[in-house]
Amino acid sequence: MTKNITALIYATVGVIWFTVLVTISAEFSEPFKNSLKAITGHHWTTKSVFSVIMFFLLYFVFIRTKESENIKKSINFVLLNTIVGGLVLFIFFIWHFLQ
Amino acid sequence: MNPLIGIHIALGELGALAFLWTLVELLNPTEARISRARKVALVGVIMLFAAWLVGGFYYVDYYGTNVKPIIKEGPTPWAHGVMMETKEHVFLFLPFLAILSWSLIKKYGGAIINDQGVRISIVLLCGLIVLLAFSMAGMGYLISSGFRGAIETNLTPPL
Repeated sequence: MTKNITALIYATVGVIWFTVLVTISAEFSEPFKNSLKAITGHHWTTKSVFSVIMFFLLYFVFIRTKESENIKKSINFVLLNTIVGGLVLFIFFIWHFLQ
Repeated sequence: MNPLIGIHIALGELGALAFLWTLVELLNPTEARISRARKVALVGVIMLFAAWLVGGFYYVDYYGTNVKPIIKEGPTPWAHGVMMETKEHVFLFLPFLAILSWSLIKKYGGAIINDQGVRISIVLLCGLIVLLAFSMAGMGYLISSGFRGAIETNLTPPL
């Protein structure tokens, strides 16, 4: 898992936005949420399993990507996406609760 | 009180503390400190994955049917609607950030000593993991308070 850090960074950022998009989509679409539930019995379990699959899938898709020459910038890219992704979920659930 | 909550909290806090330890080791790195940081970060990865499994089992098996409906009927329904919903989804970021952090220390161990820019970025990543993990504990406190408040409200006879 330590061979290509750039692929790991893409996989991590990909999982973050996959989680955000699937979560928000499921709150807007009951059929989609039910289909997630149908796969494992609970929508959250399905999201968890899919996030692991997505992480490995993205890592192996990008495994041959040239290693970043500016690793500091790549790590900061992960930091930014984590903070924005977390805030998007938090603000979305405040808005959703107030509806 | 379900013992799974206690185990979930303990594993999560140990994961957070492992990354806090890792962060401290990286502040003024030597080869010995990098080696220690790598091992402690791996412990943090294992703890966060274990917290995910235990917390997930509790959430799916117990919380949804026994706790969530009571919180939603209580005086602070936002404890579930905002806090639990945010917690259960933002938590999914943590194990992957932990793997990335451990892998960075493993791969760039030598560079961390000489390259201040890379070192600061990895320290910030560890710091973000610690902050996120402790914010999970904070949200857990609010969710538990929401449950307790709902029960106390139901126990208090109307005036």
